[in-house]
Amino acid sequence: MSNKSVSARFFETYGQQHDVEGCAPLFADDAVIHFNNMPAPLNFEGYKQVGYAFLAGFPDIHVTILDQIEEDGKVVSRVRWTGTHTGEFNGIPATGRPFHNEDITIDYVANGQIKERWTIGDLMGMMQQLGVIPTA
Amino acid sequence: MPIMRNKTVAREFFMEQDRRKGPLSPDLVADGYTAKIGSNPEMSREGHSAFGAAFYAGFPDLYHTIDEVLANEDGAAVRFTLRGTHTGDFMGIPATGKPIEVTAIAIQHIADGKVTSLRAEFDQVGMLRQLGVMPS
Repeated sequence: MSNKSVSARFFETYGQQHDVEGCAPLFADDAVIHFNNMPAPLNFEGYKQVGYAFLAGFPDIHVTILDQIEEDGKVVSRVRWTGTHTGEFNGIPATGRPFHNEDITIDYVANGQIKERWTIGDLMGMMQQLGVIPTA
Repeated sequence: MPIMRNKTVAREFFMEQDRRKGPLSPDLVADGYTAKIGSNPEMSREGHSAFGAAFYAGFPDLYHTIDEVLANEDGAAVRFTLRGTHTGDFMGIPATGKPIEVTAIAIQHIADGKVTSLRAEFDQVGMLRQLGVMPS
């Protein structure tokens, strides 16, 4: 599996099939995940909880890869997420509203697994579309 | 070596913003350039220059630290951290005197040594929380 397809497989497994446990083989045992929505880096167990929480709030999430660049095992992916807020999400009761936003992820891939990930997601855009915070 | 050249262009793009206090360097940006940052509307070179200048007005000591650059023949991705002190008016938020540290990732498409498009995400919610204008 190419390095790009390791990242792509994650987005397909989680963002289209909603199979959180199925993502496990794609991460090294000591993988470190940096995600701007979280105050501290996560291991895969912690990342899974984030994944379940997102799916609970937005059971119909769907992801599309818009762009990928790779160099020497480093893969950057820009993706678009869509979903509908029909469940409670981090204490926010369902609003029934749809959202779409983008995030950019850099994966460090070795031996077919992600050993480090950096994601910056547009939480601001999502919260504005849900009406939780005002539009500037 | 287009890959090395693209890395240099990608890095200098942000270093020039620090030198010019926001505006983009015309030497590094192609005609027809477009930028999309978070959920903000798409911007032209002039629009992005004005957007940048608003940040340096609010944070006159703002600077980019480049944490990672990866590239291929068509473009580059840059992971960086923005640091500065909020001593000026920032998009309607009066100076708080608080320091910020904000993570970001940008993808640039590059042709003939000039950036043709930029897509970026930065931790906007984290920044507003650090300024104390959004609850944690």
